[in-house]
Amino acid sequence: MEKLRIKNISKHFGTTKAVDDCSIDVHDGELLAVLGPSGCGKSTLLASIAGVENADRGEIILGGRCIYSKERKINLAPDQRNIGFVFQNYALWPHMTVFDNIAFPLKMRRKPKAYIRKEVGRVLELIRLESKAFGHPRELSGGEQQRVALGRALVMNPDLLLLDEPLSNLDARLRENMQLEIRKIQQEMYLTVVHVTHDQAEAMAMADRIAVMHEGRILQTGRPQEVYEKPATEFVAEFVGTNNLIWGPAVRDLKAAFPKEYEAAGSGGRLGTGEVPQGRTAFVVRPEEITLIKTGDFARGTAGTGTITNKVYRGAHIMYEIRCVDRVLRAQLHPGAAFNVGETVGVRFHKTVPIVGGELERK
Amino acid sequence: MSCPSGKTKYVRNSNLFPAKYFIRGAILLLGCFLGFFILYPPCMLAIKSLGGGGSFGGYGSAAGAGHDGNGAAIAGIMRDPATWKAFFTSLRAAFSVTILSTAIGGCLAWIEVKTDFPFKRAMRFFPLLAFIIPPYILGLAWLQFFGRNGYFERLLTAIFQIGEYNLRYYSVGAVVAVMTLHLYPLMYMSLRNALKQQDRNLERAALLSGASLLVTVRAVTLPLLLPSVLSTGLLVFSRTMANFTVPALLALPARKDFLTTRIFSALSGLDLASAAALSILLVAVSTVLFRGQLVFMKKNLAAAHTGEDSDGRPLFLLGKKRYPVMTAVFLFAALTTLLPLGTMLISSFLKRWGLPLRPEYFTLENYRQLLMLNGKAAMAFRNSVLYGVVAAAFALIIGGSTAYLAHTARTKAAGLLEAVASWLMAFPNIVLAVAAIMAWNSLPVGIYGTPWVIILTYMVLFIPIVMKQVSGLIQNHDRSLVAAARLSGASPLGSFVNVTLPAIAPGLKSGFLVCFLIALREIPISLMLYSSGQETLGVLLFGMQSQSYGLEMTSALAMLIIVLILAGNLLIKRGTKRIHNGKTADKEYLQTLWNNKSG
Repeated sequence: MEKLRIKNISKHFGTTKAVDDCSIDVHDGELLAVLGPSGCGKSTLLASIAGVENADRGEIILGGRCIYSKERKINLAPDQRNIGFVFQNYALWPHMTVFDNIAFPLKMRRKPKAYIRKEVGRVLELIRLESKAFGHPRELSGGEQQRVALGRALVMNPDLLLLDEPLSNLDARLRENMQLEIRKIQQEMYLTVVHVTHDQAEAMAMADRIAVMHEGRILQTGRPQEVYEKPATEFVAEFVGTNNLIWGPAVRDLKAAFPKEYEAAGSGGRLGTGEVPQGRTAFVVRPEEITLIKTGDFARGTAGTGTITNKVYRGAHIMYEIRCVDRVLRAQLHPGAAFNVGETVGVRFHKTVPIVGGELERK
Repeated sequence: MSCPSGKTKYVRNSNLFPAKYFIRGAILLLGCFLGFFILYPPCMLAIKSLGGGGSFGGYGSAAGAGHDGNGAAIAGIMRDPATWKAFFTSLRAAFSVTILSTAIGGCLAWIEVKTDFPFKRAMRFFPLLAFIIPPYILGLAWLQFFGRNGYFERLLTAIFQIGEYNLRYYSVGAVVAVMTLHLYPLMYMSLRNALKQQDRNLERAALLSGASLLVTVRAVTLPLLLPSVLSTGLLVFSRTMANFTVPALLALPARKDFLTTRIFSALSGLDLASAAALSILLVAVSTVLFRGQLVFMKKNLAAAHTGEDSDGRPLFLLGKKRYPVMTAVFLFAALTTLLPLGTMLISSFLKRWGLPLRPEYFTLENYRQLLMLNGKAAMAFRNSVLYGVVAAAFALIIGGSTAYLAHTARTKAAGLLEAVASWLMAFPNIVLAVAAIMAWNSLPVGIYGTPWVIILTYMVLFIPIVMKQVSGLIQNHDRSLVAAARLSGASPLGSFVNVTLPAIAPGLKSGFLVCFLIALREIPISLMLYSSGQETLGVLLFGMQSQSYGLEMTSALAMLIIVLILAGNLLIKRGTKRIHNGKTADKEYLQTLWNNKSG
């Protein structure tokens, strides 16, 4: 069942479209990650949901209650929406203690003192900061401040929790811990969460579903695996993972859409049948779906050929860059296979994914 | 890839603040208020200056040359050679004060920041003290020391048996000396900050390129310092031009007129039109100076280096020269602060000024008389406190809400409001007083003659000061803090009270204190506007000599005022220390002092 329905939300700043006709449904108890590069409008979208920013058009329904609708002239103030928000910079009030920061939403709801003490205590336990309850935010580390911000958002039992890149100011290890922790809390409390991030690994790790956003538009929504394996557009393919893209000729028939110059490397199985609506088809070749073969180990015509231009050791694997036909491909191989820069190798694709009807403008 | 801090992301068209009509209403209300109290008086000043000139000829001029009594007063004033004589006297004095202040302040600042001078903390204390003492009191000390039968003369007699010396203690030079002592600390503080903000590596790079120390200072340090020197120089210049009390004390008896004393004389002669015209002239100069100062200040901000690295080897090691330098610095400090203070202190315990310093002539009577509950001083103290507190409270509300609205609404109207509220910053105090006379004198419903004239004029003086104290805090107040409060369920009012107000409260507090302190030391406004029973501390201090009290009583009152001011400054300093940790506290405190506009 949908907890949050966003319908055709748009937001302009002057002539720039920060959010352009976005529609998303978020299910009850689901964590949806909005993934996109900085400046793609994801934070504005989030601010519009919270009511911190007024959208120009569209409708937002939260838990069956319309909180914003241009047509019906509904626009609930932020304090009427019961939405928890964790800001990128945490936005903790510097003149209040940790306890007071977390207790604030309850005080505003005029809860009895005993109840406030109990609830704040519960939240402090949840975020493991009981010992720092009477410290001030400036005395806390970045990770602790982040947890306080989370606690403040949770204490009010929000209908919806919005996270605006809450982890981007933390170092890598802490970030991973917090990802797991937030995910755990979300699942335990059965929270509906919209999480905005530019980090695709973070989105993959935490989200039930991912919405990829670019230039104000939502390009694809789906489970992490779907988005990774079947990117809907070229942008999604390039942004989610470091993928290689190759382009076929402009034909109508999908069968003939694979680029001739890469035919020797193979299309990785059947292309399927169907009709390409217009233009050229892009094929996604993931770095891990490429094998390199020593010259002489393959028969002529059974593999494409390329020259290795760069080699980066990454511990668990080696990333090669291979100049092949007219572009540089990236291949991720097991460290066991040793090739050298400058070597001419055979290239084989195990799997390619066609993107039909994507945006075909090209660099 | 990461978004550059979420600071300004939730700004435009936001839903965070009170509804539009509320903000518009507030802007309208404030606009009316400010229009009436801030725009109307200067307008009246301008109108009056265009009106017919009175019979004011001035004692310095050739019987009011050029005054025909019919034409516009401003034209008459412009044709009067006495005006230009006073104008150039003011200009010359201001120029000398600026040059001297720059030299003294610059040297001290350079020694402190760039060398391994050993007692830097102590060194910082004296200029602060000199700046806190009202210039009029410095002038009084000057008179007592150098004047007839003064301590200097007695010292000379005692040591060298010389009874006569030829120092003209009533002169333009005396004004320059006293104003320099009062204003060089501004230059010192400003250059000290500027030098500290300079990247040390710039100078190191010059030295490593083979430049000598002197060349480095000339080629690197000074050019980078120039915007600071110019902007603070203009400030010092305009403060000297605007000062009334010191020329009145030290130059008038020598029959030398400054622009400000001419305004005063015109008022005393009840020639309001001429006073208005002279005020317009003074304001024109001040406004030009103020604009220039803003231009250079902006340039300075552009040149500022953010990293303030105070550690590392100083640029210049004094070595053996440290003792002569130290002696010179502390001798200067002592002569310019301890000597005046000591002079006042001794005089304040004398039975009558001029008596030899023997135990039998010392008494506590002066203080007793001053502190008597029903005495004149008690009344003056009560008036000063009352007017100061009421005016500061008004200024807090008006200035605070103007700054808040200007930042949150960000409409043209709000911007205009802010501009109007801070417009009178460039006006000398004496001009504010003249404008108040023109404005409230001609109103049918008279507030003229009531304490409200003084209070309203104080308020006009205080509003820009409060705004300066607060607007920085409001601008740095992260909007996501407000957004967080609103999302937590707080109403616009709730989030203002719980989140915004605590954030700007320190600025309001220190603003209030600064204003209050100005009320304790302010002279010209209350002097021009008081009626009987409304004497303030400043009026009492200024008039004491002529009211058959001797210099000893004046000194005692001056000492009391100084003690009050010192206590107030300690409070402000403690306040800033609590908000800003260590490093920035000093700077904030100095920033606060900057606004000490009086005299």
